[in-house]
Amino acid sequence: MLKVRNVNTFYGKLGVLRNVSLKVEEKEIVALVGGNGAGKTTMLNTVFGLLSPTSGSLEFLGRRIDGMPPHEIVKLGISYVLEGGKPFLDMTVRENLEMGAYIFETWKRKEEILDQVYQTFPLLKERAGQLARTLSGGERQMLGMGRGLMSRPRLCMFDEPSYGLAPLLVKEFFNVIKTLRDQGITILLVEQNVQQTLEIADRAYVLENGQIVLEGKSREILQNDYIKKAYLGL
Amino acid sequence: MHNVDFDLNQGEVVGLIGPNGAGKTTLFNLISGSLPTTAGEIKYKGKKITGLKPHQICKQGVARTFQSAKLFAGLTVFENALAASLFGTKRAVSVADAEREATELLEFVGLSTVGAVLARDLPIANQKRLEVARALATKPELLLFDELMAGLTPTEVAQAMELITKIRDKGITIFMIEHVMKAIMSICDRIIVLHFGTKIAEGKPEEIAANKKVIEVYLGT
Amino acid sequence: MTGTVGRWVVIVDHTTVYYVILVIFVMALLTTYLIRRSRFGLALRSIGEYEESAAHIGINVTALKTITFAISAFFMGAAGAIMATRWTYIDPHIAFNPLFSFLPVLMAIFGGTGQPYGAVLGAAVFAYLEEILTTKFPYYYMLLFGIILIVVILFLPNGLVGLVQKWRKGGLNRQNANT
Repeated sequence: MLKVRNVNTFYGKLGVLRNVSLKVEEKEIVALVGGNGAGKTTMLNTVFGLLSPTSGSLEFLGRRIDGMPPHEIVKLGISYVLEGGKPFLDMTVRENLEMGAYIFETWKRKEEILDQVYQTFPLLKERAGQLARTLSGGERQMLGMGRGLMSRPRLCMFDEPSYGLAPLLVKEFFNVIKTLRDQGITILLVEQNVQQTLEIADRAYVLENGQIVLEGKSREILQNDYIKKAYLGL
Repeated sequence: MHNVDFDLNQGEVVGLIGPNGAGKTTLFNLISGSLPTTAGEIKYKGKKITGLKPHQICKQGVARTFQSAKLFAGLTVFENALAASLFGTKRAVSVADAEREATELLEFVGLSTVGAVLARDLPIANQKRLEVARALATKPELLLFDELMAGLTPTEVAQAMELITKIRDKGITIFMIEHVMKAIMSICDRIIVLHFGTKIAEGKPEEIAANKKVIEVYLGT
Repeated sequence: MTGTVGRWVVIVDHTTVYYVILVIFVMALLTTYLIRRSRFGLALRSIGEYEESAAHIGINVTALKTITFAISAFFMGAAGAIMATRWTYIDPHIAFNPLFSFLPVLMAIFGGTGQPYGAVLGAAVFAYLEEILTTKFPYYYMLLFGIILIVVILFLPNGLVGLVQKWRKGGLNRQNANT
């Protein structure tokens, strides 16, 4: 579904992604893990059109998407949930969610989609009329996820979704991911919480200093000695 | 916040956990003076501090870090620490002394090599170190950590835990909000659990881990 | 007591006015320079970066802001006092004219905040522009002013200081960001 081939992305003169290739097949849950500063967020930003790669190509559903602006990418069916959710602080929870369905196809059905999202995140329904500014860090995260789902994406990308979430919510969130996959949405998960992420992902890529150092089925990666030491603290 | 009631004893390391939105950061904001209380009072070393402004509370010896590091982005690492050394204590400090203290603190937290780097250019683990250095520079007796471990890799979490232990050994009382259970359970003497703005449990880590209500609303199975 | 609010002001010759303003100007620059390098300056920069954080490390934000305002007002007051001699007549309407209060802010923004030479540059260019525009286009100068201001804020948000800094960094860094 998503094919990233030999992508190099730079920030000014700084090479942040170097020759990165990865792919995500339909209905998969793929994880991109790595330490702070490895380039994971840069990868998502490049896919979403916020950054242009200096070389390499990106394809989604057979179409070239490198160089496309983000709003076109959303229309193609990719959704991006930023780290921390980053909701619009001066709008209510409900308004934030509605904005997620901004593209025309979903705007028509936004009430229906809103109900579905409320079912997945009942806490958001409770706080529907509250300003996003009054939400705690973890709640904003949830709001960001809800908003990302409102565009009924084919591929949903999450940047560190478990950041700052209570353990119970982290478990619930990972269940939500599985439910989403069962509903037919493909997931690309960028995370530092390597253990739990690899437990639900089908495949994973490990990014270090802008390069993919390991890839394969998550089960195998969990067994890898280097990964155990570096990322699982074992 | 509804009728939250608890004491912190000197030299303790106490954890504060609870579901998102339970009011943990709000509680910190009340203690540090960012938010006014509507009822009840907060006493620090026997003195009432409710109603004081943040800079006054800081000078009394209470320091805190923030969930999303609120560093002086356009200033260098050294300047960040220096500012805290200069203004954070009740007693006036000479610039020379403050500079010395700032240098020592940067070394204590492991940032001595990046003193000239702008705070905004730091990777997240170092930003957190700088937040800690700044808080320490104000010579606190009580230190509030707000989700210090969030976003850190397991290695970085271990380093942070070491740092907290070092701080504890200096005699500073620590009150920490965390979601990283590994850290809370191993370092804290006591844990307080907040839910919907009320205290639902308080006790030793083992007790909390076994508490049914806490498992139900926070830990999961 | 005359019972009116206006006053005739002593006439002072131009040379004296010039030198007095020069002295005030130099004092202001000197003060800025000294503050910048002092504890006070560090506290102000901290407040500018993150006010809440500054309060939490012990800086009395309200007090410092008030003092800064007072210092600022001192120089403005002195400048106003000597300038009043040029107009020879002063009443509250003239003294508290919103335009005169607003213009210095515009000059600072135009020149670029963040560096002392920004305000100096901004004021110099502004004053010169004002003279040219009011003489050449007496009817449209306000409009032209407005347009110039909009252009500067759109393309040079850091004012003239921003322009100098860009020119200094030289070349173009390959920015790949679309945003």
